[in-house]
Amino acid sequence: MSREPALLSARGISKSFGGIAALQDVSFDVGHAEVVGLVGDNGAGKSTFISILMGVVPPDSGSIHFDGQVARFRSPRDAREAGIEPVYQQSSLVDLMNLWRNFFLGREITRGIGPFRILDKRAMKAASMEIVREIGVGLRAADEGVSNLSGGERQAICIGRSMHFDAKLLLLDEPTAALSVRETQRVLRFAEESRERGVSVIIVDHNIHHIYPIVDKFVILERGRKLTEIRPSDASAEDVIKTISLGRRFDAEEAEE
Amino acid sequence: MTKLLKRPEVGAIASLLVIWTIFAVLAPRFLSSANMGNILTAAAEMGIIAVGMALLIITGEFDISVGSVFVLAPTVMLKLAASNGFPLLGAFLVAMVVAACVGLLNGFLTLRFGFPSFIVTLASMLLISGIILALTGGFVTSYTTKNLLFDVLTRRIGSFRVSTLWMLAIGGAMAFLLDNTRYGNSVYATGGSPAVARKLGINVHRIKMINFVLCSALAGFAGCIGTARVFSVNPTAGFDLMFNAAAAGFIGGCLITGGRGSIVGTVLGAVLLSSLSSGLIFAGASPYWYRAFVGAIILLAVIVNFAVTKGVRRVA
Repeated sequence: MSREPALLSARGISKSFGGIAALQDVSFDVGHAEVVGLVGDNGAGKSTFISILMGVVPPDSGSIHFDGQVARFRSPRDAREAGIEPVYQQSSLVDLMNLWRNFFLGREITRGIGPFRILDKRAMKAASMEIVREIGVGLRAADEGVSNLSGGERQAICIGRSMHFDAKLLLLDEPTAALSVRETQRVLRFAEESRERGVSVIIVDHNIHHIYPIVDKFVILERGRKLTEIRPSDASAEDVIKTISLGRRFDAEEAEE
Repeated sequence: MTKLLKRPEVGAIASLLVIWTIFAVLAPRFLSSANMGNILTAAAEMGIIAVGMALLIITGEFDISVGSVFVLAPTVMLKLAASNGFPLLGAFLVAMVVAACVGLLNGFLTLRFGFPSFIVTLASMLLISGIILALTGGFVTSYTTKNLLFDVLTRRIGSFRVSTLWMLAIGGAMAFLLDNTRYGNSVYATGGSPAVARKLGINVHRIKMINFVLCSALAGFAGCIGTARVFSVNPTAGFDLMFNAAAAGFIGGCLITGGRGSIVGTVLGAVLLSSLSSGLIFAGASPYWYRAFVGAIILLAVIVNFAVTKGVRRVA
């Protein structure tokens, strides 16, 4: 397992916006079927890193290898085609569009030749309904709107979408914000199930207690730099929180001395 | 049934039926084929502009300059044709390119610098109408020779005109594209939520740019049709058309915030507005009331749109 090269390996990633360094020389790996908690205080550079992974902005320097290849994502389309799928509860579905259009947005199934391609609605309706039934979201038809779904259900659809398109890495940005207790559990279980299917996950979340039970490792960012990596087997959730709030590595034994 | 009621063109169909019924009762000649021809002729030019406007509104942008492009394109066409034997068809094509370039410029300023399209197109509207006035001295430009191009654009057939077919063809084509292609899906996503659309790999700026150009090109095309009908172009025309085209779009269920709207509804909206204009005359009301009615109808359309989208959100 460990001999295999990592699914994602970021090396020396730096990014500045208008002279302000958002990321400086950040390196870490995400293994196959690994759940990584990308954590840190506000302004640590988590969302900048996610934006780079998604192809929204290019890094100023550094390299990313993804799935055995050098990844130079120039747009979110490139990142999605490589197998990186954003799963955001707030912003991965268009409220005013129905289920099947959302499900296949940016990757519509078409038929026809050359420039005269039209949407294969029947295929897309069938495929999206199949997934919806599988994940247990209460929609009766593929042309129902998605605006009446709960945050958890919306996320479930995004995860179903990533399953359908065989994503290799899911990006969960604040997946448990504003979710009910039950929905939070459901989202976290999805992350675990993804790992069981061999899919890797990066979770960005402020609530360390929520994600502590499911992550394989925490990558802690602090003001644009990587502070450290912590495995839950080596430290308690409180240790992780203290490390983030102190801005330096904290471990319990040191405190006892 | 509720699904049917939520379709964006429902308001337009219902209002059109109500208005036709009222006017038919007040003045039976309202439904004569001569009058229907007049209504559809006026609706065609407004409707073609409105289709472009609706496309842009659905992507979350707006174009105030359509009225000035409606005048600019035929002015360019007639000025070119009048000078040193430039062929009329060539002049028409140049005029269409000029119209498209206005859209390109509107889109560039809006998208490249992030200025609101409302302000960018307000500026280009004033700029263009100023240039037209300076070029023409405010005088009507005419082209009195009968020709094939003008026949193709708006030849009379009985009580009706070819321009109505242009409106139906353009409206039908755009309605089909919006519903059945990736472009259409991207248009609705771009207007509904640009952030999500971008994350899912849609080139939001390209989609908006396409619609800016389509909007201006269609306004220019409608202007050429109007000119072909009366064999001249009045440099001070077009001002009201922007409001009417936008009104047609809102009647057609377009949300000013983007993401929703119907091309079929928009075309019906244009027919509704020109029915209103004609019906008021038939009913013996002063035509000066027309604007007030348009205002009232826009308000009504906004209320209906708001109620429908609120309904969509409330279930959330």
